[in-house]
Amino acid sequence: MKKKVVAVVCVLSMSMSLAAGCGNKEEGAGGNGVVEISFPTFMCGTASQTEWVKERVEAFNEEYKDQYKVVMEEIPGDQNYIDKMKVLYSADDLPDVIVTGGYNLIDSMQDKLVDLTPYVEEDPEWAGFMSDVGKNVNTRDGKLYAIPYIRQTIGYFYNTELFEEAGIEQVPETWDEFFEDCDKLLAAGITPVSMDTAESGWVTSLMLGAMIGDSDTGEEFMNTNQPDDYNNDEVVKAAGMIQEMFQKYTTADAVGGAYAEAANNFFNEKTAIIANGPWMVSKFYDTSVVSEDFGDRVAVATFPGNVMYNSGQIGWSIASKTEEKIEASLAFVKFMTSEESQKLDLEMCSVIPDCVITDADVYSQVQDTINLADSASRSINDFQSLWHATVVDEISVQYPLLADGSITPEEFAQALTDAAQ
Amino acid sequence: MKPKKRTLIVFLTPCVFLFLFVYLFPLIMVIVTSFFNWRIGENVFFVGLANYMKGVADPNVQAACWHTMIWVILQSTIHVLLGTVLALILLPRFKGWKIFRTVCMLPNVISTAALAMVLLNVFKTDSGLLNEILRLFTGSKVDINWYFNADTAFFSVMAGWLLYPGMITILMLAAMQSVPEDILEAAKLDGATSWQINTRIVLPMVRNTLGTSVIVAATSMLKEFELIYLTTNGGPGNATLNFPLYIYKTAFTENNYGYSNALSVMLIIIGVAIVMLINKMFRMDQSDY
Amino acid sequence: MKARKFIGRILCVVFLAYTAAICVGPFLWVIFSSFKSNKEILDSAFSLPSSYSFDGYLRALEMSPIFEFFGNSVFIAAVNTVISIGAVSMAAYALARYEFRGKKIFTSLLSSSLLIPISGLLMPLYLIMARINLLDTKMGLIIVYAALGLPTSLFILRSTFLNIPKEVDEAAAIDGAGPIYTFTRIIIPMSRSGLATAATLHFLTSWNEFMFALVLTKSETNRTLPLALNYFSSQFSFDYTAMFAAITLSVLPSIIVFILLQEQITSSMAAGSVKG
Repeated sequence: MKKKVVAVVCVLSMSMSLAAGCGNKEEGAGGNGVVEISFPTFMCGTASQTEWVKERVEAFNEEYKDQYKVVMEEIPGDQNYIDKMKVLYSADDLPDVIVTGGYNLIDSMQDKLVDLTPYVEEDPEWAGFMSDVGKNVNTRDGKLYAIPYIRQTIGYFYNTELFEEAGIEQVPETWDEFFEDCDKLLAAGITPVSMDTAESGWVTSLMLGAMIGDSDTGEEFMNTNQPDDYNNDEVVKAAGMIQEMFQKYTTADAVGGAYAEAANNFFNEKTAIIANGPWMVSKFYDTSVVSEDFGDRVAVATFPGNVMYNSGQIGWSIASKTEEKIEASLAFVKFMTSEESQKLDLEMCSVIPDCVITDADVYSQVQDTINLADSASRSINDFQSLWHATVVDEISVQYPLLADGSITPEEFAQALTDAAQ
Repeated sequence: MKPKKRTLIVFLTPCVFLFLFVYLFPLIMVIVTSFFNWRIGENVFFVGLANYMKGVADPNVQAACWHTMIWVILQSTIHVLLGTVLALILLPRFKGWKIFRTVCMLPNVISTAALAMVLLNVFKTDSGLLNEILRLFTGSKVDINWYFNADTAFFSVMAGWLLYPGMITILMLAAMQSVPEDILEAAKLDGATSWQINTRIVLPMVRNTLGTSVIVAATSMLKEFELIYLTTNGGPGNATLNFPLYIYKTAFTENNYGYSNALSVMLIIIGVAIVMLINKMFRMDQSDY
Repeated sequence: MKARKFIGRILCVVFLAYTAAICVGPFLWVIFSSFKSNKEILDSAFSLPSSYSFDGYLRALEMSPIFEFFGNSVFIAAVNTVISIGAVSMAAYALARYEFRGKKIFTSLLSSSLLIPISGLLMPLYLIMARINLLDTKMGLIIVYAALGLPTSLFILRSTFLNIPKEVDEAAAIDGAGPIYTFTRIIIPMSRSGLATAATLHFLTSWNEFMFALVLTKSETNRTLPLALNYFSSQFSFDYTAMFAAITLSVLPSIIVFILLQEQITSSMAAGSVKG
């Protein structure tokens, strides 16, 4: 009998805890009127923006030390960060400030995010830093849910010396030329392209996206948020080209390999081409991973058809619940998205800013990327920002099948469509 | 033995408290929400058995179910057999057996992330260790992408746990070593061979632990997740997808918590049935003596 | 007869050698990799390091708060193992010795806890911990970890107690010992090997646990080692040398704990095994 009573009491107390949620947490003000806000970030350890975020948060805490304090929580690993945010979202306990590395959390979490439109309208100077593309990506139903601070500009890098060896004089302008050049590289004993399949097959999928985007309808597709249907000519044709690339033009470790292997093959000059963004450039000059002068041998190009990834990126969101915390978070987000911060991010981490910055001191490849993006005839967005997370995940398990010919490009497109629904 | 009620309460309370505190609420939550449409960013509403109906028809669930079953069966037979044989070999305490016991545990000690990287390198196409070894033996060029070929992936992934029976060995060895020496001595004096001693005396006496080993092995397969996630991610296609990985994907990638929890309930029911079955098979409800 | 024995021997040796190779291999690989450069690790996975420098270790210590996390891990893993094995051993004894109504339901209910996937546990446990103010505390993690793998320990200890003859309890009862006295003074000392085995497995589980540590804590004073191991690879950059250095550092305590606990088993054998 007693046992039953104990059990009932336990169940009751548990269900009460559910009903009450997590109400009374420590209040925002930590002594002497300083408002504390929580800021978990994946920018720690080896992540590319670690230095920048550390420097900026310290600067903010110093500048506003009488008013606000940002408490950073390091969450190593992009995926771990997303997983934790999802748990916190379901527990209705999101942190004050959220920023992801290209993952789109706005669509699933917008009911808990603060609509930032009125605050931006109040501050024309701040609004002036934001590009229209940047704002569009972060807007849902006319409401701005995040402040853009970076731009996604991606072409591909190639090794000029290897291109010369193969007798390639200028970068290919069409995909047919691209594959002809690949044959030239092969004939010179050089593996043309770095590819991968693990995680989201990032390097490979950038190529896939650029192939899809090489037409009017394709360009439109690569600017559509969360498409549900991949059964179209562009995707099928691109998947066919990727299949050919896997079978003929890449390294043996590509199928199953991750970004690390793909990058390493390019660093060691085993491959001549890798698609990736400018944040990679600082590694070209890091002699612990590359040989001397390697950086001087790397140039950047637009994808065939003069296609570039050039789009806004999901930026900084606020999920604070009290007026006081919203105010503090606003000050922090304003600080992190200011022209000064964006310029530092560009200079320290080669991350392309959302606003226009002309006087930054950067590597030549970074500046070239910006210039190419500005003059590209087609601008597309990347798959990781656009497509359903399930599709991005499905890609990694379908590439190996596509590579060894177990499935046709049509079946590949169908598999992505299935994953989206 | 019929205990006094008070004794029973004293013995069970700490464990029951731990269980109630940590698991009861999640368990109720999983069961209840499995009947709801619950996705991140959408309204939550009751859908009855819809999630379960979807689960039964989902080809990924069928594949995951099938793979999980094969792995459970192989793990609770071959894996346990390997562990038991190893324990029997170590039982006579030859020189260096303690070192060997520690060696057996090493794969369980290093993080799964590290083990995954090692295995990825072993099963690689061009510079993979396994292909190099096969090249030595066959003399011909072997170029199999073990993890990412639809035909070989299933068994390659399995090798990452099936061949590492360290835990089972430790468990069995501890039990075998508590078999009274004099019984073994007496058997030896009667002229029994070591095979007879092992199969007729030692193994029957540790029957309970053998049953426990089978449960541990079987349930570990119902939970296996990390190694697959870090190597093949369930692919190519769904060749290495299992239940826990699919549940993780539906929850964290698809944000479909209701569906994920319906699958969880299915997994729990299957799992409890398996544990009960093994309990019964090894008659672990009563003591021998 | 002799020939058969000889072949048996050979088979045993081959089996042992093979097992040793696949068990030691990955471990050595991790240690060697901690001395190789990132380039060497990716280029030639199975070559020996070209030089032995401790740069990777220095970078690992610089990049992540390993030492602080290390101390937390030792404390959390040790305390929760003691709590868990204490609580579970009592229940296991009751299961092994007593018949009572609802025993089957009790066992299956506990077994079910083993199979609740992490996705089903995270959010509810987060809510509970928030409710009782144990979020971001060592205590919170200790409680959750104490319950981790509860059924596994339960089954191991149940079989340990089942292996002890009932006559032992009966003799004690005739001498006038109560059940609690019998359990703590007679049964527990006789089950040291089972307890050590269960404790080893439980310690390893909680030592390596990642997801709860990530979700239920946020300040560095409460975080554990597995989190530190994630500092060395992100989507577009990696430092494998430092990662393997960190793994090497994190593995050593587990091995020490394992050897110490296993020594318990050996010495409990020496102290006199159970006479049936």
